[in-house]
Amino acid sequence: MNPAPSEQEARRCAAPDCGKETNSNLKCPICLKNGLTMYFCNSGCYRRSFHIHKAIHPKEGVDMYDPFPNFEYTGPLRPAYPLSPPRGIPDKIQKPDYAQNGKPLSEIKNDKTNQIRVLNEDEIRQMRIVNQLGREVLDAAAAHIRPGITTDEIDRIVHEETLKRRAYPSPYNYYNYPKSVCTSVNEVICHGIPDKRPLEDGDIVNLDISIYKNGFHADLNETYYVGEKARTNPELVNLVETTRECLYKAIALVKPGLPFRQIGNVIEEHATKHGLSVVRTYCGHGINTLFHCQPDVLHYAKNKGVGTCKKGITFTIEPMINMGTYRDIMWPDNWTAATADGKPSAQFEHTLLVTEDGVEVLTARTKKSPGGPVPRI
Amino acid sequence: MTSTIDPSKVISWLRQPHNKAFWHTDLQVRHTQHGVGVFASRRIEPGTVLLSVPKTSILSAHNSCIANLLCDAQIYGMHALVIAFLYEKNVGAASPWSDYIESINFAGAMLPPCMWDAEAKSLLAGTEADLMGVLDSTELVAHYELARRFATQHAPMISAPAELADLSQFAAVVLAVASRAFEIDHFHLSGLVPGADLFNHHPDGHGSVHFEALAEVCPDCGKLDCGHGSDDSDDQFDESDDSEDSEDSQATHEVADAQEKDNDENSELCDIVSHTSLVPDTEIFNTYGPLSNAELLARYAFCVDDNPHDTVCLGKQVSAHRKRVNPAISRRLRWWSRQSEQPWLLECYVDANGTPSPQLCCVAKLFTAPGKTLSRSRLSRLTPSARRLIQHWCAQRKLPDVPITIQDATTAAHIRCIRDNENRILDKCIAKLNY
Repeated sequence: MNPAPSEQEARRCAAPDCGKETNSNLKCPICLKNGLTMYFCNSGCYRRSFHIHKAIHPKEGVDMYDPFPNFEYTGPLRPAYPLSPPRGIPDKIQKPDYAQNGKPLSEIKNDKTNQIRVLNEDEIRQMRIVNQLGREVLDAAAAHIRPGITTDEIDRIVHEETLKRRAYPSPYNYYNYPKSVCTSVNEVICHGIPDKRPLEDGDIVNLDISIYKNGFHADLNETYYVGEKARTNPELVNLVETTRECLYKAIALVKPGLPFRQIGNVIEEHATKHGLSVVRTYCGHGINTLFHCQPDVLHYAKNKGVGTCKKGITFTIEPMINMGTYRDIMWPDNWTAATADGKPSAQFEHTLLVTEDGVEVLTARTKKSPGGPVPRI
Repeated sequence: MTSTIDPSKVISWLRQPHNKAFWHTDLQVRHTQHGVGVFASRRIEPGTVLLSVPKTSILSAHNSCIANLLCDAQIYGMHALVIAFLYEKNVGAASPWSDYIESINFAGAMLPPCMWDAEAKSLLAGTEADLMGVLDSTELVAHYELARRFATQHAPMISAPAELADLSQFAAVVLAVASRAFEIDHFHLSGLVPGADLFNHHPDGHGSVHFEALAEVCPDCGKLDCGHGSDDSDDQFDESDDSEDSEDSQATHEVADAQEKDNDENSELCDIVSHTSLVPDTEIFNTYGPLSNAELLARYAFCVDDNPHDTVCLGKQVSAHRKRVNPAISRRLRWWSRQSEQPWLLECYVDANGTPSPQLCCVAKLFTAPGKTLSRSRLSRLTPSARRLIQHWCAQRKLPDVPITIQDATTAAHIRCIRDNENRILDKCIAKLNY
């Protein structure tokens, strides 16, 4: 359990869509019973945000529970609630505009279709720094992956490693997302919420790290094998390694003059060759002072993605590849995207900078990075 | 359009699932004397959607692969659409619109009248086309230079389209694009809608289908419901404006919500819809709007006999006459100039039926009325002398019979059509005033 925000710091409304400073003494009674002091401005804030807030409430008599028992899950994976309470961000950390109430107004107002921002030298330097730190955070978290660790513990590590670098975990309260990292296990395509489920030998798990520092965002993710059972499962290895190759084949294309719509062709071709399918609902994106902005980078073939690579543009490629159908469904938490047939899905992501004559992978692996390719079996 | 050669390619584009378009099964594309046209194979009721293409599938500057480059170069509207078209054409099969682009024939393509040779142009001297600047290539050349500068600037990363090496090739593409383009909405501005351009223009402007696309979308993103504020002219997000902005965006949202209820399904589509019932085996025409022959010639490189939207302007003749009148009448004309809000000389015309415009009647009266004062209420009633003056101007305006010895048969036909129709209108007017 984490301590409540320290007394020196201002009391803030615990409603994620409010987050304002408050003098109110209204506390969530259920949290209070569990030794947690959560203040709300008024009953309006409490009621409005209760459907999000209640995720941290334990259920009597059980250690963990499925919050959506009536939902028809497509695979064996289940969410394991309660979620851990919000970890809080110290005041000294520079926060993005959505940190308080979840609304990224700068994105909503300033991201204009067809305008793809070109960064100057100074902005590129900032992007290099924050993306290298993002890589460090991912590596630190990935080093702890083993059967038995819960995704919530991984979230704690990501949160702490991010703050240690004086950065803000970008997912934290972005559109009221509750955690600091996305952990997508097995049939989860993306945006899985870290919870109490321990990783099992034979799982695959994707850690999607985004951090914010000095006004710029970093974004990267990798899929890791959990235990020997996963590493020796030929189908899983084919899925994960093909996905990894898809990303690198796509990156190899990037240079000034490349239309963004061509990126999907090479990804789908490679995935299809290995009997896999490409997710169409989610895509790569521009990233700079905005977490998500133009361009949309679609991963499937024959797409109508708009725009062309130009020196100084920063964006992500993050193919999501499925073992079965490309179709996805959304869990009732409104975040977790899972495959429609419950078969596993893998993803890899880098943040890229278009250079004079090619591409720089801002989130490149280092020699010490955990994970990495394994030979197909 | 007459230069579409392979309609089957357009139809196959419309049928490809990823383009998400709809083409009514009771439509047939047939070859006609003017190229191809769309026919109904059975009776179709009014209000039927014949063709539907999502706005995300149309070929517009904003949907093209060079959208961000055009934005950075601050090129918009028709200028941007033509350049986007050239670059999409240049990448061949890699373009999502390659089937559509290939269906357009550029080999024997028509040239816009401003690109005709001096002889052809001289045969239109003094016509409405000449007065409207249709023969002036300044704008086209400026567009060409703009496109060339864009290409040079981006040549290191994207190879330049071949059409940019030759003005007349470029002009043919401009005409092909401009003649097919539709006004889409505040975001896309002009765009090409595969299939929608197969419907020909009705000679009298009485089409049986029309083009529909919801225009009132956000100019920044093309959506109905978004966070782009209408007053948000500066690019920078200003945090200090927070409270004001959120109020604003809320207001925008409410308006958008209300609109969305009505337009939810249609806001993202471009449709061709029938507005009368369509008879089997009859060509289906679109309504392009009330365009005169000079406008048709400029935009579509064709013109029609007895165009009901034609007018013949007598401003030049009025202006010349004004220089020869006595001081008293001169004073009246000066007063008239001051009274008029619009450029009144342009309003002195004869319409397609040979009827002189009200402005023309008034001016003729001003020239001919005796006495020192003139009652305003009597201005529009034509006296015999005013009638004779208009007839005189008509006679002056008439184009002389000249032999047309242009080699290109189409161009010669257009020239003959323009000249004959203007003279016919003037003759009608002269006859009308002979009572």
